Amino acid sequence: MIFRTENLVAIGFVVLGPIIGGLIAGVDRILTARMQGRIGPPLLQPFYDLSKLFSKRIAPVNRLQVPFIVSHLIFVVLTGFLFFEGSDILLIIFVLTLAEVFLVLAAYSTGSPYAAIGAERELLLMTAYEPMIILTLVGLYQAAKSFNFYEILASTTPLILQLPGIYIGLLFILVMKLQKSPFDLATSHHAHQELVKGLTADMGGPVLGLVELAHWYESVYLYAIVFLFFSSSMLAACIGLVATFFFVILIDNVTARVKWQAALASAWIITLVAGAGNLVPFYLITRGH
Amino acid sequence: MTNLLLLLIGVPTAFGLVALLLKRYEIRSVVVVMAALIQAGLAVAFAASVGGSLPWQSGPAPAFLDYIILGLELTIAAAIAIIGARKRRLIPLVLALVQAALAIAGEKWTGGIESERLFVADQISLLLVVLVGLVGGLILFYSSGYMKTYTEEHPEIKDRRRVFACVMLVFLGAMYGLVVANDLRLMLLFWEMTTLASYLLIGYARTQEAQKSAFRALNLNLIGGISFSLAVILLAAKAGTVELDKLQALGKAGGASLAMVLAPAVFLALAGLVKSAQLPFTSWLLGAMVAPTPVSALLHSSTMVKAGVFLLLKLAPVLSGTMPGYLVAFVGAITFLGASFAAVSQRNAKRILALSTVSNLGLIVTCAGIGSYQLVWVAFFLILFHALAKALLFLGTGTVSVGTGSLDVEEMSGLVVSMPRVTLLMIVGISAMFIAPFGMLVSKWAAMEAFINLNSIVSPLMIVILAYGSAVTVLFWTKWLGLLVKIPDPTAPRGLLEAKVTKQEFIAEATLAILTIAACVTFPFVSAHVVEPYLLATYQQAFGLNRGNAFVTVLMVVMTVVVPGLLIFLTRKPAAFSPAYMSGRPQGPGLSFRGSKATEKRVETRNYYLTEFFEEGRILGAGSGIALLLIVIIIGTVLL
Repeated sequence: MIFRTENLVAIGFVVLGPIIGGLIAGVDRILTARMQGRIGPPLLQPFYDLSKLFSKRIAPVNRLQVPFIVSHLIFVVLTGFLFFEGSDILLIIFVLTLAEVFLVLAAYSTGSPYAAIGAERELLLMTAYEPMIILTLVGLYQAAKSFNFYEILASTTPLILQLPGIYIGLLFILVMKLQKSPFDLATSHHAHQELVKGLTADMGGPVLGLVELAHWYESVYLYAIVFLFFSSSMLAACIGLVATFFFVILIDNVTARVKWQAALASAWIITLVAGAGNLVPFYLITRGH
Repeated sequence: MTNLLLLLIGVPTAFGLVALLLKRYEIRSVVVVMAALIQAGLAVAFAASVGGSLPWQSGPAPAFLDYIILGLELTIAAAIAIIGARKRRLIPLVLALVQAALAIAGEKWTGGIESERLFVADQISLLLVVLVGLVGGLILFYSSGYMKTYTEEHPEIKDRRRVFACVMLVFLGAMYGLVVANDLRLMLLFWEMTTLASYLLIGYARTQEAQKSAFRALNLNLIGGISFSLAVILLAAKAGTVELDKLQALGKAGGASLAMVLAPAVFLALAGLVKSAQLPFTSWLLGAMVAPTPVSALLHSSTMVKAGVFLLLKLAPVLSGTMPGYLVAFVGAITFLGASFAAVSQRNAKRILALSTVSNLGLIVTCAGIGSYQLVWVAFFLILFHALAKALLFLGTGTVSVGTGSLDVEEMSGLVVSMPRVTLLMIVGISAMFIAPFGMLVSKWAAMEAFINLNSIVSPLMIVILAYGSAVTVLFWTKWLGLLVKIPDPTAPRGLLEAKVTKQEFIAEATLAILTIAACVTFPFVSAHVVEPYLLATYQQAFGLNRGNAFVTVLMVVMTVVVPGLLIFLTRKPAAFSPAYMSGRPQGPGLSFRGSKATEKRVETRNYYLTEFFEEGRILGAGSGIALLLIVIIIGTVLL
């Protein structure tokens, strides 16, 4: 079997993904705390939390919940694997949708009112952010003429300059995708709020641990997509990535949760104005070569 | 081969007439099942025997056929006129008379023309032949069980199952004729036969609503038929031919010969838009859901609406790159977007299915209107996957609604417990409609890539429309899926509602589910051996999935079936279930909690329907307005 670098990176993602994702979560919590005038937990706190979750007893609510959650994790990891393996990222992003559907179905299956509302709202958020994700990938393709992660990575012109509107749209839905305020309406990190935990209300112990793990994996390739916008220079990429990360946390801390109407309408309008407003002229200029 | 083809058209028709004579239900049921099997066998045999060297062409029409066609056409027009007169409906009466007048007056131009090839079958025809044979056959088989329950459950509806069986069979025969006819006069005859047949089937229950819907379908499709007649006359007058393949050849040649056939092609395309229920003609298909389930399944999957997109796909080489072609594509795009938006606010299962059909047909029309070879590839697979999955979903919904006594999707909450076997099949159908690895979504993904590669001004607009439309598709299907897998009480006994499900229903649904998955796994093969040769012959360019993507999609289908399946199997006997979180003291394992004074409070949840954003009337109304304007412009561009 021929081993390409891509395969190594993809396997690296499967092995190291949780570590990077966990560290991202750790930095997130420290930064959040500092913004709120607290010192915050140690950097490795997310790992301690996760290991505690896994030390608990599995208490499923029904016979479909656990299979759906495990499927969710498997498909999130598979999406990332194929992503770093160099598969068509437009195709891969539809696989991610499938992974999300499994998570929503797990919440639906329990039938509890909190999980049901969480599931509905998560679905709404998916509807809200999906058009922008597609436009992002099409925009990246149009700039780099490829749906392959590495070929887009190798592009010599800074994509952010060609796709500023699309970057803004992506930033907007990134907040949604990472379940940050003001779009944390499906589930929040604080169980004392009116939603309880929404989507994950009926998940506990190792089951909740798997959801958290999937979330870490996901954040790695979401930030990898952000990375693509700055990939022409290593310095720019680092600055862009850090700035994006900081911005998402800042937004999380300075905004209050919105209603679903505002989430859906604002995401769709941003997608249309910034996303399509960038993509359509960009496509027309660069077409036909 | 011509003989085999004539058998294929004749056998279902003959069986239909036999069924009409058989009074005993049991005997008739056996005959119908036999007919279903035989016609499916004939369809596959015909496809297999001509499949080697396509396009297959028959000889010229016998001289007297012209008169037979005219005679039959006038008979159909007369039948419709009589129906109109007896039911005191002016519109069908007038439309039928116009059609008859066109048929007679048209003789002046079409009368002397002898077509060289009466029948031509290419890969698209054969796709339809196989779908009509297999899906149509399974629907007939299902109906032999379903109609028995239906008649018992609806004593107020007069038992006209003899007519029902007859019309269903004749319908299939007409579909075969329609998809292989090359002489457009002959195709028009079959076209009008399907119109009449759908009228009879939609109006089966003879309630006021059924009558209204049946007449709406009749009126709109008669208008489509008149457009078809005009197209044939125009083609004969301008180009001196009535053959579809010659129309295609002239259109592809471009320049002056394209200008000669563009107007007839546009009128044929309009007929196709009506038949495939595009905006502003959508209402006939939405109304058609009053019919018994097998009728809906048949109209939505392999017949009727597929005849519309079939014709458009045949016209794709002519319309491609022309102004009317782009406008037709936009009618499709608006329909795609509008219907999927409208589906979000629906609670009626059949209406969700109907709007999803309209939406998918819209996408197929878009592909055909732009008509690049890549988009034709997409359209081919959309037709294939949609026919299988939608037939499965309609049949499943029919079965479920007998069990729950309702078409409301909310009543399907917890179905995985009360009807586990049927629910599994429904899940296959719903997944096939929108979940990543399955056919419909692969086709949508391919459509996206095709639009990107098109390098046309319309590309980015279509990409934006597709991006929004597919996001909404995920929303309304997952909502439904969520209801199916809801388990209000994990300790409740399973399969309580499954007793009424007849064997015929379950076998038909299970076979469709297997066919759906098989199509998803084998589609790279179908692409390489069926679709790509067609594209090479028609466009001198072929499109197929590259090996990596084909591998990824097939891998995903297998994983999507195997992973949750295996996990559910492995965890089938957990130690104990925790109660769901109720924000109160839970009362046992079900969805209820203990209120004050130890009263038991039941908890019920309902889905979001988001009517303030996705109100059907407003969306379809606006869409119809735009589509109508586009159609006026289309007619304007070719007439002026």
